[in-house]
Formats: sequence, structure tokens, C-alpha cells
Amino acid sequence: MADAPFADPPVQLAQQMLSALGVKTVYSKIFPAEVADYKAPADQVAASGAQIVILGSTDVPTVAAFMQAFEQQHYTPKLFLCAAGPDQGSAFLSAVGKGNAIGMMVPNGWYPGFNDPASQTLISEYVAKYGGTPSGVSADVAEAYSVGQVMAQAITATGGTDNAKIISYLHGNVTLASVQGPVKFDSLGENAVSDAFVFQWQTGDVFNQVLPATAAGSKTIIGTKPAWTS
Amino acid sequence: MAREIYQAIVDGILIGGVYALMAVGLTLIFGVLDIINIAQGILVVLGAYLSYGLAARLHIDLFVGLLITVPAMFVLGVAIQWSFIRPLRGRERTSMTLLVSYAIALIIEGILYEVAGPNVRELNAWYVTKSIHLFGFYLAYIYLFGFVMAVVLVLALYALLYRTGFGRSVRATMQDETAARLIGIDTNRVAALTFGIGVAVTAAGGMMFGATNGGFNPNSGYDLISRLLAIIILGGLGSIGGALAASVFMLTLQSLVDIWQPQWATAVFYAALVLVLLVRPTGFFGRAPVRAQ
Repeated sequence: MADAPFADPPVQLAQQMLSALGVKTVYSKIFPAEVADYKAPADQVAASGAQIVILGSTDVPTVAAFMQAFEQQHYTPKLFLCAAGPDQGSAFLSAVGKGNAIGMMVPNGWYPGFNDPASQTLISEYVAKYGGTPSGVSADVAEAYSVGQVMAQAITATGGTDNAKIISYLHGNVTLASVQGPVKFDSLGENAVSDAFVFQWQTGDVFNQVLPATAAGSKTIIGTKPAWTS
Repeated sequence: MAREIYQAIVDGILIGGVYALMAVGLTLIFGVLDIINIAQGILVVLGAYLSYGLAARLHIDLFVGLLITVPAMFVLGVAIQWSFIRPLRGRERTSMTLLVSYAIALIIEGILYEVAGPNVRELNAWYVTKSIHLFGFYLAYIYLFGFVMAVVLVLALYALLYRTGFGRSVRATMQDETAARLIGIDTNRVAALTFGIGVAVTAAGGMMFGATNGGFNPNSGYDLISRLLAIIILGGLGSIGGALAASVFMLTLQSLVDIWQPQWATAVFYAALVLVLLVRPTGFFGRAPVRAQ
């Protein structure tokens, strides 16, 4: 995993949970986030023959580099999850190819199919303006839009842009609306009412919610990643 | 463990070839013009974009496309030298060239953002993801081809420098620009052509970077420049063969460290530079030995 604050926590949590279930870790290393070439560490992962790869990635190039090295090594893990990268919609697809994207998974709190009227409006308007498909819309779009929504509500409620008042308001146990769902900040500034899901690229260039399997909207997970197609 | 070490050495050598392609232009330009071209990172990225444009729009193979991108980058290099570097004179020339080349980098980056946008691109071809099984290892064709290209390019540059009249002019300018002018060498022309050649070979490095890095966007050049500078300093500023040797050395070392402690790989990369310079301040093939050839 990359030495990055947003990349490591989900990987470490997943490792703890899987270990508790009896899954053996065969490779676990931290590499610098700014490393310019991932072939060597990716080849080490491939040599380990791990059945599940959970990559603490920060962006699309990191994931694409690992995928490329895995394909060069004729190694396909059964499950391949990344902390970030596959949530970048068409940017991810264009970098790794539609065939190779199938089975790639990423944890997040939102995806283009999120069943929320405001989110669906955002998606339809975004696609109408920039083209592409709903699955091709990056999670960054909703995240950035949500920031604007939260700030707009805070400014409206406090009657201005006074920083101290906005901070006080946001930490005042208030629940706000966003295209990602409700927002309520706890004492650490984390959204205490957000949901977490795992999403997966599936056949037909669609990006679906797959875990928790019992959650509303979850599709059947592709349990074995198909072989590389390029 | 032995297998992991062998794999790391193979990886380091092959990746070193890629870095050599990106670094030789930088060291060649320094050797003749005594300037550090801060724009080298973005020129690598530009080379990747040119290859991407030819592959995506015209379906031209990445290596065949070099027949177009290398001359195009040569012309760009000559134009940059003529427009931005040549007018700089006086005692502040070296420091000014740092600023000017940084400005060039920003201009090219801005143009790339405007033309290509911020999305990540990747160069694809059959040999990018395919590999051959040799001696128990899967060796990716792209790295094999890239390494061969690096060796060929280095040999070609040596032939140019040591077997041609132009090369004699270049070496004379490297040794003493004033004396070169006194014996009738048009040093302005030599400088422009050398800068052009340095940028031209970077097109090959850019293509390899774009095909092996997992993707690139206009912002991808910044991580590169510090590593390329470390490589050419270790190889010996101005030494083309040194750039290849240093690339292979540094990337092999990094790959070996990756086996045990990947988080230290970058630090070791630069620590090795410091340690080698303590023992050999001119790098592997410092200026004096190179110019004595």
C-alpha cells in the first residue's frame, strides 16, 4: 500500500477483518506514495501468488501500473480491490481498458447508481453536458459537488462566510443534505452518518454496488476476476 | 528469496533502460550547454502525449511513431534553444537557464492541459502487456524493446559524438566554448543542434514512460525530474554512457530494496547518490574521463 493517509486505513481494516476470518497474509508492504515506478513491488506481489490483492492505491496510474505488471507476469488474483482508482469512472476505464476493468473493486460511499433523486439529477445533467455514461462519472464529481452543497447550506444557515460561525455550525450536530446522502460531522470532522459500500466494475462497462451483499441496490459480485484481456 | 532477488535485478536492469532513455537527453544538454534543463520531465511527458496522439488518432505503432515524434521533438528542441536559451548571456546565465527552463515546463504543461485535459492516458500496444518466459522469468516485451532501444541510442549518440565532424564540434564546445569559437566552430549552431538532439531522444523516453508508468497526465513530469537529475549526476554530468550505467544501478538498487522495505526505496535511491559522490565526486563517468576520450 502507498504511504498515504487515505490509502492505508481501508487496507489495514480489511487485513484485520480477513485475518480474523482465517485468511493468511502472504505479502504486506508499504511503498512511498510518490514512487514513480511500481513494476518491482508489483512483481513481488505477483510472485507471492496471493489469491486476493488489496492495494492501498492513491490514483488511477498506481492501479494501472499494478494491473499492467500483473498481466506481464501472467498473474490474475481472484479478487482485486483498490483503495482508490476504480472509482474514477471513465478515467479508469480509458487507462486500463474495459475488459481488464471487469472485477476491479473499490470501497466508497457513493457511485453513479446511488438511489438518491439529487444524485440522479446530478448524473443526468453531468452526462448531458460532458457526454459518456453514468458509470463513467468519477466519484470525485459527487464529492466535489457535495462540498459545494454543504458549504452552501452552512452559508445560508449562518448568514455569511464567517469562518468561525461556519465551523461552529458544521460541528453543531446538524444533518445536511448532499448528493452522497446525509452529512453529519462528528467531533473528528468525519461524516458519522455516511454508508460504506464496495463497488465493482462488471460486464458491460457498468459500475455496481456489490457489498454488503444484503444492502439495498447490491448486485451479485463477480467472485473470480476474469483473466486479463489486452 | 534467491528468486525474488534475481527478479529484482532483472526488473532493475530493464526499468533502468527506460530511465536511461529519459535521462540521456538531459545529460547531453548539460554536457554542451552547461545548463540543467528543468523542463526535461515535462518534455518526457510531451513525448508520451505525442506517441499517444499518433497511436490513438492515427493508429500508428508506438515504435514506428518515433519516426515522427523524434524529428518533431528535435525541431521543438532547436526552437526552444533558439528562442529561450540562446539569448541568455553573462554571469547569471546558468541560474537564469534554470528559471527559463522551468518557465518552459510550465508553458508546455499548460498547453498539454488545454489540449489533452487532465485525464490520465496510457499507451497501449500488444507488447506493453505481453511477456516472454525466459530463464524462469516473465520478461515484458516493452521493457526488453526499451532496453535494446536505450543501448542502441546510447551507441548511436557515441557514434555521433566520436565518429563525425559534428561530434568533434560538440566535444570541442564541451571542452572550451571560447577556444571552439576561435577555431571556427559555430558554437551557437552546435548548441542549438545539441539541444535539439537532447530533446529528440527524450521522445523515445517519453514513449517508454507512457507505456510503462501506468498512465500519465500533464502533471506527471514533476516526480521525474528529481530522479533524472540524480541519475545524470551519478552517471557523471555530460556522460551519455554514464546515464545508462547510473539508471541501471539506481533502479536495480531500488528494486532490491523493494523486496524488504519498499518504503525506503526512494530514500535509498538518493542515499546511494550521496554515498557514491562522497567516494567519487564526478560520478561514475565524470566529465574529465569522458572528455579525454
